Formats: sequence, C-alpha cells, structure tokens
Amino acid sequence: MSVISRAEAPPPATARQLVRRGELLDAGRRIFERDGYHGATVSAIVALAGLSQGAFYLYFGDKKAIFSALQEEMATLLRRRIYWATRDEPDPGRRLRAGLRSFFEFYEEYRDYNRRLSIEGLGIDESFEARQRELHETLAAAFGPTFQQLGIATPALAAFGLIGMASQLAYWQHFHLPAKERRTPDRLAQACAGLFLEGAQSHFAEGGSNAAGQ
Amino acid sequence: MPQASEVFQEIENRIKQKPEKVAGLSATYQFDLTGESWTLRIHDGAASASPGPAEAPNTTFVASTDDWMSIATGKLNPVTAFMQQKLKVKGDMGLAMRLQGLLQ
Repeated sequence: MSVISRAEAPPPATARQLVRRGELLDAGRRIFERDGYHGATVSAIVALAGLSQGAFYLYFGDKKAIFSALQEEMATLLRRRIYWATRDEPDPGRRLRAGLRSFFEFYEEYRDYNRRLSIEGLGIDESFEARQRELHETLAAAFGPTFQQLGIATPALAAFGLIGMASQLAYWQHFHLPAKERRTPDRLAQACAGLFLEGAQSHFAEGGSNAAGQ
Repeated sequence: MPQASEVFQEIENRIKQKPEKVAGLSATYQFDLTGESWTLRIHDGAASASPGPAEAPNTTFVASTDDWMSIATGKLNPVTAFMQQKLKVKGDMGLAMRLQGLLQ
C-alpha cells in the first residue's frame, strides 16, 4: 500500500507559526495514540488543537504528513537520549545498559505512541517503514563500537537482535503485565542487558546484580 | 547530565564532520542560559563555539541551563519547550529552525 502525501509545507518562519505547528503536532500525537493512524482524522486533530482545518493545511499537507513529522520528531528525541546517555561511559557493559535504560525510559514516557507505532507503523506505508528502518540502522551503527569491545563478531546481527528484544520487552511490559509487576526502566535495562550478554540462563535477580553493568 | 560546554563542543564537532549540514548558512547564535552565555558562529561550513555573549547575534535563545541541556539531550522536545516558554527565541526564527537540525 502506498499513500501519496501532498507537498511538504515550508518550515515555520515566525514564533507564532512554530507554536501553531507545535500545537498541531501535540494534538496529532494524542489523536494517533487514541484512535490509531487509520482511525485518526484531520478534523479530530484540529478540534483538539482548537484550530481550523485551514490552519492545519498551512503546516501539513495531510494526515500522512503530520504522522511523518511526528515520527521524525520522536526518532530525534530517542537518538539524542541514547547518544548522550552512552557517550561518556567507557565500560561497554555499562554503556549497553545505559542505552537500554534510555530506550525504556523513552518507551515509558510515550508508551501509547510507541504502541501505535509498533502495531500499525510498519503497515501504513513504505515511507513509514523506511523511517523506522533508518532509525534502527542509526541505533545499530551507534552500538557497533560497544559490540566490538564486547568481542561480538556479528555486530549488525547483534544490534538488530537487541533492538527487537528491547522493543518486544517494552511492549510486553507496558501492555500485557499488570502495573504492579512492571519493572522500572533501569531494572528492565539490567534484565535485557543480562539476557543479551549472558543468554537465557543469566541470573537476573530483582534487586540484585548481574554482569551487565553492576 | 553533560555540561553546556560539552554540548556546544559536540555541535562544533558535528559540523566539522559534516560541513554539508550548514551549507549556505552564515549565522551567529547566542545562548543566554542560567548565569552563562555562549556564542555559536557558523560561517563558510565551519563552526566555532565560545563562552560569552555575541556582539550582534542573528538569533538568541534564552532558557535555564537545565532546560537547555534537557533539549540538547533529548529529554525535552524543543517545540514543547518553546510553547511552554521554557525556551525563548529572539531574532531570526528561520535560523533558529536551522539549528534544530544540528542537534540531531
């Protein structure tokens, strides 16, 4: 399936335009979280933002364009978080865990958005899939030096395996576990790093320690 | 959390590595943070960051150091910060938008 998007609107040139665009993006995220991509409408987004349909089209060509902008904005936030959380950590095990903690914190903060993206994102359109793949490739490349230090011979395979495991763990944790059983991002990062580095026989103990950064 | 100086150094390094990101951009940015100012000059594909205010900035950002660092490290969305008035922008908004891309 391919959806043709209208031409991209020019970036905001004034403070007022930046605020209006931000209000639409914020409303868009909430509507996409609530109704999903296919259920969301431009009418619902502008109603929540308190703006007119005309105002919407000054900033975004259509529903696909606002979702794309949102996807880009969220990917930027995640990349920045992981980069700064891991940049100055010399120990590869601790660096891995710090990166995972940032990912789980991000997932927790935007859990409904992440859920929609993981359920619907890849099925919407090739361009959404391409943006998600680009994000994953960036993250995989960023993990490369860490995997080299850890002596992992197949860094790309390991990186995509880790991203898949972390994504699925986050989804399971937030949408299938009772709230009282959920781990904090740090505990989840510790468990995930343990599974990744030591395999399924890693003895991650709640409140205890393991080799992945303690 | 890193220091503000590290973030400006990082921006400088990224431009050195990828000067095409600032192709055609000539601007002086000033950052008024809590108790400190920074200047970022971008010209001819090169950038230099230095502590202190600029003489004639094209764009000035005003924020607390904590909020600016949260923006730079992905903890706070810059547009949300702007809407919440945690980040203020004076001067050329178009140049402010160009800088957004350099923080990615």
